[in-house]
Amino acid sequence: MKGLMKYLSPFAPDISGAVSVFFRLGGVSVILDAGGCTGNSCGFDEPRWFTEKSAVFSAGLRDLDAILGRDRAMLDKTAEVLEQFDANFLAIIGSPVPAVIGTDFRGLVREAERRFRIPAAAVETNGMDLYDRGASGAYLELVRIAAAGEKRSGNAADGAGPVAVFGCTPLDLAPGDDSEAVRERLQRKYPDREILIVGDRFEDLKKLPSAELTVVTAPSGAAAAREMERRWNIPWRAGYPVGEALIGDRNGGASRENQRGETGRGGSVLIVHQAVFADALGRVIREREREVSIRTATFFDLPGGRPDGCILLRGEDDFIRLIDENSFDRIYADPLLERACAGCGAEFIPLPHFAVSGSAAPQNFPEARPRRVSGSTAAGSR
Amino acid sequence: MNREPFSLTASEAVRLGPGRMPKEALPASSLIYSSPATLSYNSPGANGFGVKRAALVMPESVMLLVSPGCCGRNSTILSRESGYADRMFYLNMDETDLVMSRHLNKIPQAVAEIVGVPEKRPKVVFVCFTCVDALLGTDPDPVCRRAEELAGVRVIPCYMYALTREGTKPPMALIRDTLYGELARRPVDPHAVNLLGYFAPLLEDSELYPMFRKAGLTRIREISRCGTYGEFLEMGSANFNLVLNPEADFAAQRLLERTGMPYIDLTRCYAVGRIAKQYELLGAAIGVTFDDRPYREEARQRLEDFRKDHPALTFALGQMLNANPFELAAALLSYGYGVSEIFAPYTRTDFPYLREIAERSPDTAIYFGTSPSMMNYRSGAGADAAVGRDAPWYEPDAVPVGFCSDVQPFGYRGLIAFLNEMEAAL
Repeated sequence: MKGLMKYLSPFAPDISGAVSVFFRLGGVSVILDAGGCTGNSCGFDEPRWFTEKSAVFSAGLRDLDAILGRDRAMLDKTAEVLEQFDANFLAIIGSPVPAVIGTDFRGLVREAERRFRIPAAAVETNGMDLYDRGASGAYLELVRIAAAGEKRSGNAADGAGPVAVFGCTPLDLAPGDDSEAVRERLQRKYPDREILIVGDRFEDLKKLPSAELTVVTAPSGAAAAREMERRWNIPWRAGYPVGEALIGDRNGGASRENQRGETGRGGSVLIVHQAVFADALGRVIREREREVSIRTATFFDLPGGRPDGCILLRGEDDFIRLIDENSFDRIYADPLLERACAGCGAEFIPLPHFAVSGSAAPQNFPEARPRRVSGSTAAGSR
Repeated sequence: MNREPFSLTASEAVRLGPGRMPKEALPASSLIYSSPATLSYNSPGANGFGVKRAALVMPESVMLLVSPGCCGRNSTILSRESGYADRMFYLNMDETDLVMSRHLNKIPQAVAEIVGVPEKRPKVVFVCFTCVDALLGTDPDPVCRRAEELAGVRVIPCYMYALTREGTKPPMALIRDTLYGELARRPVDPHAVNLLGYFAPLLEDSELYPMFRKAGLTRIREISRCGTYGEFLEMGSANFNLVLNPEADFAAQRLLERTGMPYIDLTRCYAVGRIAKQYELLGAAIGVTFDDRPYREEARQRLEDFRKDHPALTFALGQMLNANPFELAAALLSYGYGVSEIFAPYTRTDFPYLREIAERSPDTAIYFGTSPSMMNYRSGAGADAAVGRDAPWYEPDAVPVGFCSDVQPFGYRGLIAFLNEMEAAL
């Protein structure tokens, strides 16, 4: 049944994706919810919440706010907060409540910009879509803010244009990676260019119009890359710079497998993650192993963000069917998915994805040991 | 531009009085800051027992959460940590469901499918509805009846309506009513009593058990100690209900109205004198005299020993702990200790404790964890111990004392448990 999860549990929602993109930019983010969505995003989908400070707030909606649509009251509360912080911008993020009552987000942005005299962004998340859609909407808003800034102050670049990178939130990244690790790897690839990880510094936004290239490390960045191309004719490519810790360290779980693979392990392999990283990891394994057949799959889909051949999984039924209909020798996937693989006989190699199992998964990839999937099956009873 | 976290001293709070509560005491009057500290309690179901985990205290039950995916996200993590992942199922809504209420038609079939998943077929399925259905005005009863007919198990609707958190029936009060609403009146057993209020049992060594047995109340039932659904239904034979947490008052009142089962409130305290008074009043209400002297003496002795070992301590108290932080603060001050800060909003019912605090320690600071101004909070009050799951985030240099176990301390032995946990931490 579409939407029914019997073996899995919900992935990071669009709200968390939007929060994640704005997190480090020195703005004030207000989630239009009663409090639970904010708690979920901050407490379960944002690992930086426990080590870095960010002004993320819940609007604290109550039933009468929703019934009467008291947007002005929300802006009044926001005004009080803005008196306590020097905010670079205001971000208004949706939840199921505004989706039901039909909140006018564009109107809120116009009113907020007029009243507070700082840039305002709105992401119409509804809590029903997945994180990549919310992150995508937030990235698009950042490009819009960059374009508005360009109109005001002109192009800020001097010298060679930078490389802009979209898709580096903790929800997008490979296990063990952070945005700095991705930046360093891309810097080695583009030594003469400044690498701008979009979402790390607000000041970088004004450099976006002068970028020479956009790199998309996760599907969440694809729409923003296309918008950069449309506005400023900046070319883009998708690709994830897979780190040595993941593929080359003999002490690592996956790397041990890969080392064995160099001696001709091969076989049929399934990789499940966000599509761009899954594709990149597949290429690495293909380079290292002989006679290997690799398929990639993802639960996260955005138009234009999925490489050719990557299978879209619309729910747990699709995933279970994929496992059932194929005899994979190895499955690289988030530990949360192991329960749905029970009985398939493949070797399950945990590949944590924060957007799937969040803080419940071991984020240190070498600690995630491969194991044979056996026992009573999810599939067997299907 | 004010960059100081909002706080009041105890004396200021008393001076303002219950008629002039600061708006920070009412979370919905400002934007809500979900600091790592507040996550323990502010997100419904974030930690401890939220609606979902609370419902699953019912033996032989599973839950179908019918909601946008975001509402179940915390369960992805918490259900694994707390061991109820195999009893949680999700029916995620999409935008068409929102517009057409199509998800309601799927519920009976979904229930029929999930009861076949666990190795042992469940006897009860909770169908949990969220804010979205509250706003859509969904009537869950007919849907659950259809599900019950199709799946052949008891199907009970329950509600996780965060929008009503400051209403007259907040989610955690409502879920208790949902659970105990299953009880039908059975022939009254004069020797039976139910303990209502918590989703986990009292400490095994609580004096309540032997004191009650001595008074003839030999069948003491708690939902968390019921092994089967049938055993739970036997709670319908209790002579009376003892409510240990005010959040169960609504459920107890409804039981009284529906079945005639009476109830009595008993407050959890950490001041020895108040504990004694509670037992005296309870005894008077049910017509027995509890002999609490040995337990009272044991608690006094443990307290004296602790004071000898730790004569001077200053505490910072959080909100996520097995105590009312204001009562605990008043008790600690009466024992000669200091309380530098309390990180919890107070309510009208806390004023007797606030007055005691203000008398002994007028400068004790009261902070409101969800106030946006708490982003500017800097630790440094110099507390020796930070008590509560949330308190160490505010006072990272103090010795952390969680005092937040699922199993519940109560009475004299509760005080001893607190002192023992303190001793171990120090």
